[in-house]
Amino acid sequence: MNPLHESVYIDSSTDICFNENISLTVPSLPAYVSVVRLAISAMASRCGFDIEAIEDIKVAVAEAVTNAVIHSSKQQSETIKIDSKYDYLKRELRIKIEDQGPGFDMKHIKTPDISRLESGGLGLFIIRSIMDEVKLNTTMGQGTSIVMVKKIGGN
Amino acid sequence: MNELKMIKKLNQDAVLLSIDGEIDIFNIGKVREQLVQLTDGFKEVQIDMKNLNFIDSTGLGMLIGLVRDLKGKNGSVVLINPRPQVMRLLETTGLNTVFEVRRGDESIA
Ligand SMILES: Nc1ncnc2c1ncn2[C@@H]1O[C@H](COP(=O)(O)OP(=O)(O)OP(=O)(O)O)[C@@H](O)[C@H]1O
Ligand SMILES: [Mg+2]
Repeated sequence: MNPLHESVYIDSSTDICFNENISLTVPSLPAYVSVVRLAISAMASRCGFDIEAIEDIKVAVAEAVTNAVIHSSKQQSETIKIDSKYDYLKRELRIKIEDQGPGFDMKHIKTPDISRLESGGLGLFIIRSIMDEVKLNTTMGQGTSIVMVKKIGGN
Repeated sequence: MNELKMIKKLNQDAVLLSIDGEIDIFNIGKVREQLVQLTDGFKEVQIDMKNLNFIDSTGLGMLIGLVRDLKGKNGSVVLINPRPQVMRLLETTGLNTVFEVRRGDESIA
């Protein structure tokens, strides 16, 4: 057997997730939310997050992609771009979700008051509560991007 | 696929349902329709969640809507045996204070 081949084989069998990256572009449709959710949570599991963190990541991704789908019409944003990067040294997963929808005015976003029993307005609040870092960038008429970071051993 | 099912009528006013699988933006329309049908005429709605793996904010919004409707009739919503990940979401949003959350199999028997 080729010794080089063997050493490569042994290397990959240790199966450590170093700096890995998933890029996805999906149609802006409800059916694709679970596709993204599953892809990113599989990556999180591979990179060593515990079950609770994987669930958090799954929820945050679902909320962000759902927002991109429902708050823009098909003509405005045909696709959603997802970029997910694991940083081995920082032990963190950084997920960016981008749409070319209408954007929104962040001044109007308030903390939901559950006791009033109004539905809606939960998604961003949930994302901020369960991820370690959240950066939202939105421009009216141009689109929205949200960057969410989850650290291993954080939060 | 039938995420929402009637388990049984508990009495004149109360019904036990179950929500299974995953509730998200893809199936929420259908699930909401079923919920309206299955809860029609009841004041207390108990929902067995032990087989619910995933729920998003639109699903939570649907449950909030149900509580709102039933509160108006002096009724209530009881969530039974939510999984840890669903419970965490209920706690994060404060919804555990809006619903009664019940554990243990005795309430389902
Ligand atoms: N990607 C986006 N494009 C355009 N508007 C957005 C986007 N994401 C969020 N928004 C705006 O921010 C608001 C708050 O979003 P959030 O997810 O918190 O609540 P929601 O989507 O309205 O309801 P819920 O998430 O509870 O189902 C939305 O109602 C929408 O106006
Ligand atoms: Mg939302």
